[in-house]
Amino acid sequence: MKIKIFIYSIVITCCASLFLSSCYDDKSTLATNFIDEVLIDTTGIRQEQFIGYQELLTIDPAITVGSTDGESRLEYEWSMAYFSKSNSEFEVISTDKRLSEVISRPISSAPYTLKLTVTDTANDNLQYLCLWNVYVQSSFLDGLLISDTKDGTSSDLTLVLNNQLTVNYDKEEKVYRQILEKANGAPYNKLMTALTYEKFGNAMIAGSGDNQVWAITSDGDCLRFDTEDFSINGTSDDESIITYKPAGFQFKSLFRSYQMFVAHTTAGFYSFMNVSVNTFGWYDAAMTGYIPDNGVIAATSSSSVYYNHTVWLDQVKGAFYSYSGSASFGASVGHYQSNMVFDPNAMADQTAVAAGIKEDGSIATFLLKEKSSGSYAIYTLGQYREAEETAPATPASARNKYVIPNEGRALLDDAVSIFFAQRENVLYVATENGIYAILYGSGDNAVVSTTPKYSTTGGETIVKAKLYQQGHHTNDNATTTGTPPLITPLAWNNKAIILATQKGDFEGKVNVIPISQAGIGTLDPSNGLVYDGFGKILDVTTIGY
Amino acid sequence: MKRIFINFWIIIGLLIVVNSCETDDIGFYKEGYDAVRFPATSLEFTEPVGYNSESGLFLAVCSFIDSPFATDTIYELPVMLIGHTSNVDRTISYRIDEEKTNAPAGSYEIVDAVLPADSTSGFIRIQLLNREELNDTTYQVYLTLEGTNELSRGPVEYSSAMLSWNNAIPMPTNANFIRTYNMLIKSSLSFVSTSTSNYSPNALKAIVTALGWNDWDDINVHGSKYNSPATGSYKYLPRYVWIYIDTSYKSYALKLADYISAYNASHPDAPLKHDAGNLKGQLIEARSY
Repeated sequence: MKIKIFIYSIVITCCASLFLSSCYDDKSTLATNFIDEVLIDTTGIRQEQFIGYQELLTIDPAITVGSTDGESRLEYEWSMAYFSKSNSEFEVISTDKRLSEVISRPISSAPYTLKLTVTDTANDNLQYLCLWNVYVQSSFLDGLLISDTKDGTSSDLTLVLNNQLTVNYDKEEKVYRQILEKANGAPYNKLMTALTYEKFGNAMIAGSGDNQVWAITSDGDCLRFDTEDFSINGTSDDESIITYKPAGFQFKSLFRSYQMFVAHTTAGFYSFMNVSVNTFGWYDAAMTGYIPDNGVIAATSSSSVYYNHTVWLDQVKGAFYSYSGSASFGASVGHYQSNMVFDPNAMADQTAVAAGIKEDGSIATFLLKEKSSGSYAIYTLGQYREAEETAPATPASARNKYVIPNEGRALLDDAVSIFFAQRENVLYVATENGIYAILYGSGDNAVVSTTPKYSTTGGETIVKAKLYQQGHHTNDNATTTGTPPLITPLAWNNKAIILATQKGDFEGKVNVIPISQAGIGTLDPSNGLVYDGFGKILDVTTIGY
Repeated sequence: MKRIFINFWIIIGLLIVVNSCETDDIGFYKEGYDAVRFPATSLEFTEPVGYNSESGLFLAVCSFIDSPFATDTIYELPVMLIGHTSNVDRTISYRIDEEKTNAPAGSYEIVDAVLPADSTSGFIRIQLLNREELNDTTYQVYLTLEGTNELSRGPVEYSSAMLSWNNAIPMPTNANFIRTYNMLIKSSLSFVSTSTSNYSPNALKAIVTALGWNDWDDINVHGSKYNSPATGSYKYLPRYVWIYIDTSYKSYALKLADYISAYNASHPDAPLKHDAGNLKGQLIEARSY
């Protein structure tokens, strides 16, 4: 009986609870007071903002309330924070509707968070938020770097930032001229005749490492700049660039190859792994005894190409050779097998004129001139490939030869610059007055276009020409060719040429001319970029950031 | 029968219960376990550097090179406590290994050897006299810790030390620097050896002079490569890794060879020779790679 009463009590209590809770006043059924919503329109404003150190950051979103600007009832607050383990506080930088502030936060590869808070004071301080990522960078970003001289004895640097030449750049073009003179009161006291961009650190970690430019001077010395402020962070006069400099030592060229940074010098090759090293500590023993003919070397910058990443025609041995691996972790120099077309080991009558290599290192291409006849031909070499499940290993061997007809010989004899496209079978030839294209890849002969792809005007003469490749591509092309690429490839990467022209001794001009038809080397000067105001142009290169 | 069987198991169960209730005394740490040893960064990163695993010695050095007019100095050889601190000073016991020690009587004096109250580290204080012969002689004194009623001796491999002093550049005691020395000075040792058996002050002086190395403790000069206090702030040699990673040890050895060659050419009657170690009396040679 007692149990029955207990059960009844439980049931009654539950019912009572349900009854009471059902009496809750559901206000959603009452009349609603609609408020005008605040709309923040950020159309056209990039979520990722890139700003130079101490540059003005301007963001002007359209903010409306209903059909008005709501000026009388809205309050604005722009605040910035750098989120880290020790700091996550927002600091108010403006209370204006439109942000226009000089950003003096330290340069950082990680973004700052910018927050816009719009407060509707007429409606119980209802708040609306917008967030952006702001990257504070050096003012000197990636772009085109020019070395020129105004007096024939000293030289200075000019950096061009432009949305065609600079990654993630959507601002007005900027040209920083005479960088060294403005920083140090005087230009550099020697002629910097060869510039090479290199990133000290792991190229495959975006934003890490130090961006550097190495400059070889006309007397074979070398110095190195940190591109964050173009301060000199190494010279060959002390041990900061090379530990031991034999008597008469001179730098000839510098280039990236596999995971190494390589110097071709009068004392042979020096190399180091630039992930962790920034100094040439010792010569590259694997390359001892080899001399690239005319200093012509084909090298892919891809950090993932281990085999045959550096190829040359050896002046002493009269044969093609290639370098695999690295001096630090095991290097080897190997030769190429012959085929029915040519014998890469019997090239003593040839001299090297120009060389190129595919990004993945699969094919190296050389323009050679026969010493006895003076005729030219293009030779291609296939690289070693390891065995895969579906294919056996492929030895490094000769591939094809394309003879250049007489009309091409005349152009090549007069050339001031000769270079291969990296992705297409096009050889560009720059003479003093024009750019020509020589096509190869089918049959036994190359096809010469005697009609220039570009002609100079107004008494200008071409003094130097090269393929346009953005800085990171020249440092490690795996960064721009990956899927997805680590560094955004610029539209002109491998699809433009750089041209330096002179009118007088000290009246130089730099052109960047897009290639409109890459397969046949057609240029589009009308859409190119032109920069004048230089003295005698010594070199032009691209740098990364 | 069944009852007997059940009673049997009940008794067995009770016995187990009773026995299992026995209490064991909890072991307490006793002061008598306290011991002393010399520092070893391999045991505790924050301890003073100087332990050399190859010799089993804590190596300590002192030089009058920076204070040539001082008549003497007090060197504190660090000693570490194993165990609890005490609220009174405790005396550290030691003995001098007379067989290995070459410092004559009167050239040094041990002032005291104390583990202070409430401290986990103590010292053996040694007065070193700046004597003329230190210009070309290195004195060494070998000490071994001993046990007392207050403090036992710690592990034998951390119980011996060697203090050397002279007027020369102080000997490297950290394995990082000893390896650098061996990378540059030719001997029968491997180029990456951390042994000091072939060390000589003259050879180090040649390295320092040839390469201009006297500021490796300066962060403004060497950046991240500088020798921090954690490495003893040694001024005269870089850590071996910095010359190994870029293979520059080969270049530095070549520079040293050039210096020695030039020096010997200009001093044909007094070429550079080792003044201590296994190579004492032999010509100093740089390694060649």
